[in-house]
Amino acid sequence: MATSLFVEQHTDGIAFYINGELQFHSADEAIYHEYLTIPAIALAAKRFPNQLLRVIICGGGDGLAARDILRFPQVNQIDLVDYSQEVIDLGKQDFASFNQGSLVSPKVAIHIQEAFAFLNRLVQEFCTESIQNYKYHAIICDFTYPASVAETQIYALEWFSLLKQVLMPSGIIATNAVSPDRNTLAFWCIYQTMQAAGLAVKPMQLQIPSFLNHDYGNWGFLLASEKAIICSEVASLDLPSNLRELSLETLQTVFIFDAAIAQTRHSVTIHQKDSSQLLFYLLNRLNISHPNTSTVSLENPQINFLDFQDGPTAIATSNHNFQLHDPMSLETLAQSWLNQLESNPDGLLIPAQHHSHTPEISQEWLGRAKQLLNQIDFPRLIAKLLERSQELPHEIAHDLRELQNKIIKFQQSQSLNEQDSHAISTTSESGLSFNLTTAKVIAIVSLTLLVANLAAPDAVFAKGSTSSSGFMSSSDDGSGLGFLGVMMTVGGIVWLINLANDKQK
Amino acid sequence: MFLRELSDCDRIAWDKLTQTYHHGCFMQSWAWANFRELDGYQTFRYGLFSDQLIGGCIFYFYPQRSAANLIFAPAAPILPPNLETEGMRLLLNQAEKLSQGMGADGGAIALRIEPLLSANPEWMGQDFGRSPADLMPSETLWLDLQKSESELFAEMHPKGRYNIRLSQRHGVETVFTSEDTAIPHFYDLFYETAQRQGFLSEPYGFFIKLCQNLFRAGMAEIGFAKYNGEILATILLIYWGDRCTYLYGGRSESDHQVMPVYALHWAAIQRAKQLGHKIYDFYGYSDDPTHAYYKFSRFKRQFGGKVVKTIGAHDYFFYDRLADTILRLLR
Repeated sequence: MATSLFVEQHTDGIAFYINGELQFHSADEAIYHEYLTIPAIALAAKRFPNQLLRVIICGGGDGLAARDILRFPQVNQIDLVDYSQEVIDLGKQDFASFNQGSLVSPKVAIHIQEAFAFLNRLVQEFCTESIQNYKYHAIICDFTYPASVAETQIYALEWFSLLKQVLMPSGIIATNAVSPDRNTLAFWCIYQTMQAAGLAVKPMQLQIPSFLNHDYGNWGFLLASEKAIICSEVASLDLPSNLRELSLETLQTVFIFDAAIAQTRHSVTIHQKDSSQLLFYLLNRLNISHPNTSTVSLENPQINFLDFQDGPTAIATSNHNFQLHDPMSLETLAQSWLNQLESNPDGLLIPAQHHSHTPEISQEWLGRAKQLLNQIDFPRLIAKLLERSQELPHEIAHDLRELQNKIIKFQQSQSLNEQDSHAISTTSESGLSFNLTTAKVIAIVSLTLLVANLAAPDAVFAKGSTSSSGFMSSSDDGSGLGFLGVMMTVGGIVWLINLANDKQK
Repeated sequence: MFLRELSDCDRIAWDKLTQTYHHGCFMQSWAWANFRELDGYQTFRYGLFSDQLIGGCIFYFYPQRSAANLIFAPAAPILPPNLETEGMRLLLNQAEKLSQGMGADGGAIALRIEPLLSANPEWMGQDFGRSPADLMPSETLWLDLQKSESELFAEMHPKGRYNIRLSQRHGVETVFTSEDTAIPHFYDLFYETAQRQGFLSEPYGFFIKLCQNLFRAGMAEIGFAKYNGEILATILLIYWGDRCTYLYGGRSESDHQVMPVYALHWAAIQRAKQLGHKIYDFYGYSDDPTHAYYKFSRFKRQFGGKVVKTIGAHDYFFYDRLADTILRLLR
């Protein structure tokens, strides 16, 4: 896959972007890289005294994480796995003055490969080799921000289970995550997924000025091990002497979170490789406003994760085999909509489907459900459904046949007497009862059309309007009522029949 | 006539076709498709051939988890004269085949096309219905660059001419570039403007990908208006075929009395004319006060030009696919 790499020159250094996402700004990258690497390697050094350490960096082709890991004389070997030769080339050349030539260090072995595939192969080889010789004392994950289901795989349960297989017992994993305040649920989703993989996890957060300037929020990291990381262990780490940002004192503050943010960790579900759970959280942010202060107060209570050992939350692990609970699948959405069909028809929501999709866009589209339905030739669709009626429950097939007959009769009466169409419509309205299958079909078709339109916003969206023609701006078709509110008010089945009739004209 | 997937070897012929086609557009260019791929889209590029390439379409598809999705074809299809119906049939068949094989567990329920035509063509038939959203503005404002500069200037609204002269008296300078270093300067002003005006703005990364791709293909430039050494206004221009399209822009609040935006567009118009383009497209226009473009349109109107309307986007539903999706959900 093609990748966009962009190096921006500034008076105070450079900024590097991969696919438009800031990777580092040389003015403050030390904050990110020291906190990502130093605590993990220092912990590994403490847990494996008098041993030469083996470290793997997943991602990190810019060489900056490797630079900081090489500060530890105990580190004997670093495997760096990055999928992009181009990034590695930049790391060796353009970024050499920033990473102090880390990528040409004899201790660093570079592997151009997807990290998942690399570790899978390693695990396979363990079957025939002496496992202990190939395990790592520390694993550092330095990935780009995930923007698709495929890219979220390196935060999945399967990924962390794989990491455990190549990690020495009591070895350390450090991974970058997402913003705890901007993407709160996504951050805790990664946290709970690591816990579900059997790791004891400590969350960390930092303010990185260049990230804040890009509206990324505070930045999150996760420090983990099979063996719990305790407060006294962190307090007594031996750190390299020439660090620019990290100290023992500042390190202990990054485990402190606002209670409001921390408590939401109990409300997330874990992420699995083939699900869109994490992407769902990334696209559907939970915004928790919190005062940006460093002092504990009643108004701003805080939790220090160094003070206790957290276990996996029941909700996070209750759906381990949840193929049908993929939150972005149409099946899950439809189930949710149908459940609300009778209980709360105007309270329906549709989650964001795309990174440029906003809640306002959702709301506008929901109000336009009737317009979307007008596009559909219902007699044709129902005929198509009935062609495969054997695949449907008997009652639904029966209801659809009844609906088809009603539409045919209505159309026939319309063609017999165009003049009296209004009277016929009224008669039909009074003579027809509301049919639940019809409502279900309308709900499902509406949802399908909404998701299809929301999943791929186009250039006109990007110009600040949902339509250049302006007809989406009008509000004479019930916008703001919510789609089922519209449906109920226009009279259920009669509306559908009228739609069918309109198609014939 | 037959249809086949285009390969990199066809790039030059395809781009030439879309540049010379009367209703061609940069959104059907090879480089634009490459840019959209960087932004997560899949593209499917098909050509119609007789002895040589005579038509075709680049289809765009944004993969996602659900079974509901659309295939897009902005400013397309490109159909050979007198063979429109047959060409469309071949492309529709191909789109329907694509709709069945897309995504891990999904497909497409409809094809959304948007030929840049002023009236519904015969080949569209009854099966295409008006889309609920357009891919491009279906109403825009064009300046005819085949007129002389003095004619263009004379045909502007008096306020437009006055403001251009005012900017000249103030010594506003303009510069055009396709260097990557211009991207952050462009974005800073674009973002500032989006915030001020309250419209949706794409993230910085969108422009990095867009500009990098189109700069290298020689398709785009960023223009700046400077006053006392400070950048006050910026525009992103796309060059394709006979058209220069003003796609995005922004301006600072400071020193707006020197009318930098007027200076910049007038310089862009002159530049597009010198480069041989026949149309300066302001990309979006509306006289409707409730429309999102209205405020920008009042400004654009100062430059004269004519309002051009196209038929907008139209959807063709794949009813077998739609029924399949509905059946799965009903079960």
